[in-house]
Amino acid sequence: MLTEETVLKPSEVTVQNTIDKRKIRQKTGKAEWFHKSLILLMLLGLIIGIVLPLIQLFLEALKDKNGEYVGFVNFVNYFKTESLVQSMYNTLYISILTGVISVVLAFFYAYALARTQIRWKGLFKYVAFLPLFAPTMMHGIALIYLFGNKGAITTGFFGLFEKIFGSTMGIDIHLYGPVGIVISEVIYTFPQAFLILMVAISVTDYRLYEAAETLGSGKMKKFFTVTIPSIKYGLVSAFFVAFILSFTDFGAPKVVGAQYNVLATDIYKQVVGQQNLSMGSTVGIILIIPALVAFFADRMMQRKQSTSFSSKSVSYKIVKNPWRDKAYFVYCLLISLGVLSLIGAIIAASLVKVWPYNFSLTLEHLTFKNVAGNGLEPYFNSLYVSFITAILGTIIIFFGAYLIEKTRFMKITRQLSYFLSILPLALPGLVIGLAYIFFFNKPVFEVPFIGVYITNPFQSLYGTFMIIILANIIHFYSVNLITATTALKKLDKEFEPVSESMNIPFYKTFCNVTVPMSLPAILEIGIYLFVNSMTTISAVIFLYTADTKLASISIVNMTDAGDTAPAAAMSLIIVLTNILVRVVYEFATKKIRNRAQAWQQR
Amino acid sequence: MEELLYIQNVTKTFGKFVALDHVNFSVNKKEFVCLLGPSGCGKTTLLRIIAGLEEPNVGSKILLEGKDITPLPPSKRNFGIVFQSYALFPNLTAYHNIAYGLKNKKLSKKAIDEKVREALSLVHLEHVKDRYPAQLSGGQQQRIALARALALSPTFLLLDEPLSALDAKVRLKLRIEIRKLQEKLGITTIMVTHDQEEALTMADKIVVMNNAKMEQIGTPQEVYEHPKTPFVADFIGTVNMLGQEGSTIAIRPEHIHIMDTQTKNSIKTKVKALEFRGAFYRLFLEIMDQSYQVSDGLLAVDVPASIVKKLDIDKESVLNAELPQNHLVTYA
Repeated sequence: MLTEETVLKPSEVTVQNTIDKRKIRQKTGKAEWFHKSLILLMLLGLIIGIVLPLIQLFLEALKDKNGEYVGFVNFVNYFKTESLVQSMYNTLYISILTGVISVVLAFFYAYALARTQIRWKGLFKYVAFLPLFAPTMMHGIALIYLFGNKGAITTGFFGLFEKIFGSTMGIDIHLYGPVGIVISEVIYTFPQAFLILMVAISVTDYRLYEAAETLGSGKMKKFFTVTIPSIKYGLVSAFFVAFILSFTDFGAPKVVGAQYNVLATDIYKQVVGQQNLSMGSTVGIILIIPALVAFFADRMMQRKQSTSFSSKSVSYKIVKNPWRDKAYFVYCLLISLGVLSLIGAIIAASLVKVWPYNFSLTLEHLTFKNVAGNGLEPYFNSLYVSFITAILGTIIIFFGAYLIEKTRFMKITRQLSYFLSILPLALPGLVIGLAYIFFFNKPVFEVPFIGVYITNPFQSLYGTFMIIILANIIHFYSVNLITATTALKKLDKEFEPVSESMNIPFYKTFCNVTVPMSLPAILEIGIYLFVNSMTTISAVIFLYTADTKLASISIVNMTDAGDTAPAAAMSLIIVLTNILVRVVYEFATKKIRNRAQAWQQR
Repeated sequence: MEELLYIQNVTKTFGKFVALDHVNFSVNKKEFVCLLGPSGCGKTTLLRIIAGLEEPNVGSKILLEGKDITPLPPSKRNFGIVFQSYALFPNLTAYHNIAYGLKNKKLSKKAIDEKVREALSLVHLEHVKDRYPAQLSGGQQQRIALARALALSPTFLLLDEPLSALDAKVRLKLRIEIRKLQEKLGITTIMVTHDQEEALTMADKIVVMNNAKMEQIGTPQEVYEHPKTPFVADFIGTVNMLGQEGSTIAIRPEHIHIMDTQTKNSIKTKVKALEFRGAFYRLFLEIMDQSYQVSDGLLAVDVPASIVKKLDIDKESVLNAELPQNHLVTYA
C-alpha cells in the first residue's frame, strides 16, 4: 500500500498530465505574519487617506444644496453656467501657454548648462532651483512690485528715469489677469521643467552625433534629427508637468488673477465664498480630469522610453565655440536676473516703509503687527507642520515603498497599493483638501444601498494639525514614493531571499541594510516634504482653522486684506527658511552621502 | 547511497505560462547536482522552489530526508544559497556579512567569531575580512558569499549561476575551488547553470532541462556519451545529426574516424572547409553517399593535427569517414 507520504522512486512516480493551477500555500511564521499585516495596514491606510475621501467628494458632487442625491445635475448646471465654462477655457489657455513657454525657456537653459562651456554654471543651476523654495503667491506679489500699477518698472523706477532721460520709460504689461498668472506660473514651473530636461539632455548618446557627423549632417540637421528625438520624451514629460502644475495652482491666480477666473479660484469661491459645497466638488472633479489624462499619457510615454540609453553610450563632448557660449551666457544671465529680481523685489518690499512713497528702511513688516495675519504664529505653525510632515511622511512613504518593492507575498495587494500610491500624482492639492473636509467632517457614514450607519472614527482629526499633516503627506506621496522606489530598485533584489534563507526576520535586514543603503534618498524625501509643506497652499487652504493657520495661508489672507508688504515679508521668511534648511542639510549630510556612494560602487 | 532530497512532480505556472511541468528527480547525500539548460527552461524557478522562494502548484512535492518541506517557508528549510549577484550586504564588511546570519542563532560572541574565522579560512580569505564588498574582486566576493552560506552549517547548498558574473580565468579557478570545498565538507549541492562545460566538469549528476521539462538525468559521461534526446545531444557538446532511412542518428565530431582507405562501413566524403583549432582541425565534409542527409548540410569531424599533416588533407580532398557503431545514438 502506498500512502501519500510514502517516498517513491522518481521513476515510479505516476506521470500526471493535468496541471492544478492552485499554488501550495506556505505556512507562515511570526515574522511573515507581521510582514503580511503591515502590507494590509498600508493598503488600509491608503484607502482611508485617498479612496474614501475621494468617494465622499464624488458623492458630494452628486448632491444638491439640500444634501439630496440628484445625479449629474451639478455637472449639467456647470456647463450651463457661462462664467464657469469660461474659467475652464481660461485655465486651459493659461496652462498650455505656461507649458510651452516654460519648456522652451527651460530647454535652452538646460542646453546651455549641459552642452556649452559658459561660466557660472553652478550659480545658474542654483538660481534655477530658487523658485522651488517659494510659495507661488510670492511670484505674484513680486510681480506686483515690479509690474503692478505702482511697480518699479511700470512707473519707470518711480519717475527716476524721467528725471534722467526726460521720459518715464515705464512699461505697463497689464499684469493683473492672464499676463500676471502666466508669468507667475512660468516661474513656478521652470525649475521642474529644467530638472526633467537637464536629465534628458545629459543622457544623450554621443555616438549618434558622431554617426551624424560622418554622414555629413549640418548643425541644424543634427539638432532636429538627433538632439530633439533623443529628448522628445523629456520634452513631453516636462510639458505635462508644467501643464498640470499650472492647471491646478491656486496661489498665483489668487494674487494676480484679479477678475480673470480659473478653476482653482472657482473652487475656492464656491466653497469658501458661496458655501456651495456641491458645486465646489463638481469643479474639483473637473479639475482632476485633465490632470488624470496627462498622468496616464505620461506613464505610457515613460514605458516606451526604456532602452534608448545603454551602458555602452558615450557621453557628450562639448566642442569649442566662443560665440555660442557668449549667446548662451547672456541668455542664462537674463533668466537668472529675472528670477533674482523677483527675490530682490520681495526683499525691498519687506524692508521699505510704504512702497512707493516712503523708501526708508524698516523691520516693521517682519513683525506682522496690525495686519490680517496673527503675528508670527502662522510661521511657527508652518515650521511645526513641515517638520512633523517631513518625519512622519518620510517614514510612511519609504516603508510603503519598501513593502511594495521588496516582498514576495501578496502580489495583488501590493499592486493595488502601488496604484493607490501613484494616484495622488493626478490629484490637485485643492481636491485633496476638499475631499478631506467632506470625509473628516462627517459625523456618520451611510453605506449606500444597505442603510448601515457607521460613526466616523476620524472626525476628531478635523480642525487639528494632524489633518493638515496627513493631507500634506498624501499630496506629496507619489513623487517621494517614486524617489524611494528608484533607490530601492538599485539594491540587489536578492538581499531579502538571502536573509530569509539565513532565518533573519525582514525587519532586521530592513534596519541593518536597506535603510543605511538608501539613506541619501530617505534624506532627500525628508527635505522635499519639509520645503513643500512650507510653501504649499492648495491642500491646506480648506483645512485650517483659526488655531492652525499656516504661513502660506496668512500670505493669502494678508494680500486679500491689502497688506501686501507683510505678505511679501512672510514670503521672504519662508524662502529664507527653506534655503537655510537646504544649506544646513547639504553640509550635515555630506559625509553620509559620500559613504553611501562608496558602498554603491561595484 | 542515501537520498537527501526528492523533487516530485514539481509544477509551476505563472498565469497561463508553464514554467515547470512535472519535474522528478532525487539528490543523494554529498552529491553535486547541476541543473543545466538554456535560459527560460525553468531551472532557476526550480531552484527557487526548492529554496521556498516560489510556491509551486498543488501536487508538487519536495521531500527532505523523507519529510515533506513543500509548505515550509525558506527560513525553516535550513539551506545555504549563493546568487549570481552574490547579494553581499554592501554596508557590512566581509566579516560582518558572514557573521550576519549567525547573530540570530543565540550563540556567544566567541562562538560566532570562531565560526566566521572558520568560514573565512575555508575560502582562504582571512586577510580581507575587514574589507567592504566594493573593495573585493568579483572572485573574492563570490567566495565570501559562499562562506556566508556555509557558516550556518546548512543541510544543503543552492548555487544560482554562481560563476556567470566572473571573467573566464577566475571562473575556471573557482570551478575547481568550489568543487574541492564541496567534496571536503561533503555538502549536498544543487547548482543552476547554462554552461554545459561547467556542468560536465563539476557535477556528479546532471539534470538537463528544456521547455519546463526534464530531458535527461545522468552522470556527465552518460549525458555526453548517450544523450537520450536530440536536444540533449545538441545542447551538450557539438553533434552531427544525420538522417538515414527515416531515423535520426547523432554522432560527435571527435568520434568519427578518418581514413585514406575505404572499408565496408565507411562513407565517401569531400572536404569543403577546415578550421584550425590548435590541437586539432575541425573538418566540414560533404557526404557523397546519397543515403545520408546531414541536417546542417556538412558533417563536422575533429581530426588531430598530426593526421591532417600525414594525410595531407586540404580543401576538396576526398576522404573516407567511418561512424563507429558504439558511438552512434539513434532516435526514432
